[in-house]
Amino acid sequence: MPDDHALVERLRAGDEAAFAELVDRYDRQLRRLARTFVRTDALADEVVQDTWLAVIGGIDRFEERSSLKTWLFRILVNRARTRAVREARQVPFSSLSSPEEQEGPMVDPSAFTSSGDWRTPPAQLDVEPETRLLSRELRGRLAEVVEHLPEQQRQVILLRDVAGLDGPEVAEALGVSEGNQRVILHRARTKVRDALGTYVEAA
Amino acid sequence: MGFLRRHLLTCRDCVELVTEYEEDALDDRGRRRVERHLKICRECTEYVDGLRVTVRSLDALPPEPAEPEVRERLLALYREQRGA
Repeated sequence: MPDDHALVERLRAGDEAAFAELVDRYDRQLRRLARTFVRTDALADEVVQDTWLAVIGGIDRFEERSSLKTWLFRILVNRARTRAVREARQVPFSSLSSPEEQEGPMVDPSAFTSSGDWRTPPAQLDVEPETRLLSRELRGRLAEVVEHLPEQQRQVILLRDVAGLDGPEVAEALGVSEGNQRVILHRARTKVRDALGTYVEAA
Repeated sequence: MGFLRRHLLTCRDCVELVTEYEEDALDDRGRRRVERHLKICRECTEYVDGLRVTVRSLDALPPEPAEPEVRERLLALYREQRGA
């Protein structure tokens, strides 16, 4: 990743501004994600602190095979899981909320007629032609929409689509099968897309 | 999934399969069915395009600056260990 490399070099060289940039970019997301693994804010704070310490200490060893972001989030997931296991009263994640069922329809059935056609055409999302990303306005809504997802869906979409971890490692991190992880991801993505569509059409 | 035995996918089927499709988790037959449906269905194509741009955009979320106390504390740690 070209942008990453310059930042990595600066981080290795002791450039404080570079580290401040990294913290500003990811600290809040790391904190939210940590909170889905452990039971209290205080524990999440510790997990994130450990993560940043590991980043500071480990940046020389970072091989740049993944993006800096993915590397960062991988460290967080490891720290969070270790911490969750160590906490004597930690309840295994899968029993905090019922795991997503693999059976049953994964899309909102009311969007379709009984013969499986669209009731109304799906909403068109505003896209910036230069970047091929959602418009600034919709991107602004995106984080909020993700925050309102059920916890397991939020975890999976953060890990897969925000942090860039791959399917098998996310399945492992959550203690579910790869297939189940994919079902959760599907539900999360379609929920987010539908929420943005609702927003666009209400405007 | 019984609906896979039908020859043609409905829109609902197609949307249900789209993540598996994107993840290359469908067999050849399933993949061809989804592709054939998307080729002829403007609405599903719109839906899937919307999903894709959403996923791309999740990779590029606008950053929210860290809490000032948190940033200061972490910068102090960084300075201590790596300060130039």
